[in-house]
Amino acid sequence: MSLQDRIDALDTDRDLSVDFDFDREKAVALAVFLIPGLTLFGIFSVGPIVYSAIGSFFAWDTFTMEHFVGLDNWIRSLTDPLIVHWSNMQEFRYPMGALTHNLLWVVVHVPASTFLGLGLALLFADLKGRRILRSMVFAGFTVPPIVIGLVLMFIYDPQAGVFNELLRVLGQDHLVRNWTQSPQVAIYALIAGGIWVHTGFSMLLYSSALSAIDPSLIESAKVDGAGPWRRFWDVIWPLVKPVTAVVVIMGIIWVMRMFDIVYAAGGAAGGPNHAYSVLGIEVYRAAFRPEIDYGMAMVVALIQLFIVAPLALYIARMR
Amino acid sequence: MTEDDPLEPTGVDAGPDETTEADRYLQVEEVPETAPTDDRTWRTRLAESVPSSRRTLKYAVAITVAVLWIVPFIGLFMASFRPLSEIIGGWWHLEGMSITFENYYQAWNYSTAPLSRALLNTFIVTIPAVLVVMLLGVMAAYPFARFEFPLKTTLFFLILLVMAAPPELVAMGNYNSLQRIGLFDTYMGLILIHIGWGLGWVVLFLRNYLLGIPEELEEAARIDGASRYQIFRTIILPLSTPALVSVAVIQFTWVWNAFFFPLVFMRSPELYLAPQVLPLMRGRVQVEWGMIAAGSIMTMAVPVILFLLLERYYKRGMVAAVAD
Repeated sequence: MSLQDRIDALDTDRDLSVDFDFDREKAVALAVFLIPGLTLFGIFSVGPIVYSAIGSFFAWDTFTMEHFVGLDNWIRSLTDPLIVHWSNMQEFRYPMGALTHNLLWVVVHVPASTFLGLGLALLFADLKGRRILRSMVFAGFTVPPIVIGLVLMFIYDPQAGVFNELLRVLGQDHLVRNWTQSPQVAIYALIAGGIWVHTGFSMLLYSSALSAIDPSLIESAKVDGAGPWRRFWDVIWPLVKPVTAVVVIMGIIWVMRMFDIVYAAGGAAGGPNHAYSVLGIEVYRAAFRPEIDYGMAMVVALIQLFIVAPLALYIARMR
Repeated sequence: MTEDDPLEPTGVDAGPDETTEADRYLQVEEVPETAPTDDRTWRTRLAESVPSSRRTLKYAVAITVAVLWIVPFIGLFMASFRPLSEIIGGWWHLEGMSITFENYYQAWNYSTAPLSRALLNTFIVTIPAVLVVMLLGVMAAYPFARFEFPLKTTLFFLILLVMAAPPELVAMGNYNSLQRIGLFDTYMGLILIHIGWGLGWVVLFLRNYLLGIPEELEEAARIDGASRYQIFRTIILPLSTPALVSVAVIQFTWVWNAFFFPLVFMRSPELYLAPQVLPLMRGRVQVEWGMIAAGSIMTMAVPVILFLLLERYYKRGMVAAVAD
């Protein structure tokens, strides 16, 4: 149901609420069905979000709300070099601030995992045993992300890591290093790991879109003499295009929520001197590691929401 | 037959079938004198029945990619069975390989927080969090799919908002409220938070599924005098079983894999969950790869096996949850 339908339904809601008052039996049933779930949802999800939204305008004494300070927390957080580090950004030197790192993830990770996902979906589409092949690629997505982070540390380890061994075999010994702990390259190493895990998810969405295509369409294009390239652009792409929006948006949401992988590799500081910290890490550090700064934690978490919320609403509208 | 006219109704739209018996069979004079010529030569036929080299190449590439994709996990698996000296030398060296269960033993009895306990804790938190979300989720989804009620649209928006929110956003408020009601650092506190957090997507997912169930069944039951609760129990619940299995698998994986919520809300080492223990296993001087690998394998085994067993439900649920 699209968002527009929902808005239209708002008017119907009002009309119906008139006879709703008389329907005691229905009201009781609604309460029985809705109240247990919505109570928990309200207390543990909606409530804390509202609390953060209000709290971001107040001063905090560790965990206690003090007096109203207006935009102080917002200004302080947005000018904090841990969030956006302007001078380092000009020199393109890490750390560049968690928000910048997060946006870099979006710019590199999302297109890469989308293309790879589409590529693998097309590659596996008509092969025998495609279920097994797909499961092999997708399996990483079901593994705890904290394990993914540890696996990445293992791969990039200077001695035990298979990636450095590959470099040695290729004769690139001067590149061998502890990738996750080298400030200037670590973020790319982690992004590569993120792509590795997340491609399976993009592939899954594309695969289900591809399998919904009527094979006779492709067959008839073949008969008409269309090569693979033409078949892709003229037949397949128009049909999987709507899925691309979902894949991209889910990718952005996934990346903006990034926490576990970065924490596994770099702890609560997000790497040496916050070299690849992301917004989630900064929220955790500000809220639960000394010096505790609840106001800043709330602001940063709200920034995360503001970036993602319009995209989530866009998906809802697409339906 | 003439060319297809797009404006000419066909099929059902064409009205009552007007073809007569005579139309359905070829008339004698229409039977061609010669057999139809083959539109493919024997050469193309042969080429089409034998897998082409192109296709063989495709298989080779696909299998190579898929295997390369799980190389890191193979490495993890190998490392979990080998002593540290061999891991540092490279798990890919197979000669002189010795297999040991020492890493598993160490991880199982890890001194800071034994994984035996941590895995048990993870089950204690995950199972109720999944079961309660399923029950409350389908109960709340039913009115969303079938009835009109005030504030429905507002609630719908709130659910979407929460689904977009990062878990970090609810951590501060929940930390304070759990402290106040005395559930901080308890199983119950973490379970409640997972339930509250998971309900959003579960309600939306199940609502979409219930919208696809025809309403006539319920109408019939209502005419027979069944109450709303009876309809829910005898019609809605059984019909939504496949969706509920999807919810169970996905929610189980998410709660089991969750790292941020336990990190914030579980502070006593005896209450640590398995994903929380793993990063602690890094030693100060030398990283204990063997123990980390063994612990990781044990922790990831549960969701991965569940995924392999209920793969269809997992994938279908994943696709439906985001794409529908």
